[in-house]
Amino acid sequence: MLNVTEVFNNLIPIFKSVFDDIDLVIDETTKAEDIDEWDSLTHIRLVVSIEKKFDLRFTSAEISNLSNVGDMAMLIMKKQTSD
Amino acid sequence: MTNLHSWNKYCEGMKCEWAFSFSDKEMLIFARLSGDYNPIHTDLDFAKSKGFNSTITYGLLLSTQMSRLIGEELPDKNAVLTSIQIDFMKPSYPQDKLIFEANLVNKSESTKALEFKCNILRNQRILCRGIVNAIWIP
Repeated sequence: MLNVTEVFNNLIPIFKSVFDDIDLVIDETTKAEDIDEWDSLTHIRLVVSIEKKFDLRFTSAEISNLSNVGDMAMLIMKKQTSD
Repeated sequence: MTNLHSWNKYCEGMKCEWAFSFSDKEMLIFARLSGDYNPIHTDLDFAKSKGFNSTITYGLLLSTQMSRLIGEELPDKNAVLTSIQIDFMKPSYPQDKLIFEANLVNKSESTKALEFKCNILRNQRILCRGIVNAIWIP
């Protein structure tokens, strides 16, 4: 099972790929408002890519409760533990 | 109004398939719609001079079946196309009897995203393969 740092490090290339920006810099506090291209369709691509990468499925409620990338990393950690 | 009952009709592994073909007349209509009159699609002698058996069917005319998939062949009318990827591996010719097949490979409950793997076949050989993504809107 990955620790939170490893989860975050795995999120970085997903973000770079989805936003098609190899120079994209994110940290735990990054949120949708911080990235211009983060619209509803990109959000869907991001979530689906994360589900595939970590081989897990989120619920709508879990996704709507997230406020930043750190929350996402923590959610992934939690779901790894519960699955 | 939400209609999750309809969403529940989608399941990973769901398959759909149909036969289709394009006529010379439909090729001409596509040429007019797209503005692409390249002789590889419109001139038999030119196409043969390039080594093809006949004029070749427009790749994007073949891809219209991906639109049919999302618009007409799913359990409801709530899906909207968001992206397509398609590889044209072998040429197709007008009047070819083709089969379009699609397989729902990913259904995301959290985002209501759908991903289909698709093939277009002639005589059981794959001419085109691709991926269609859609979102389901309640």
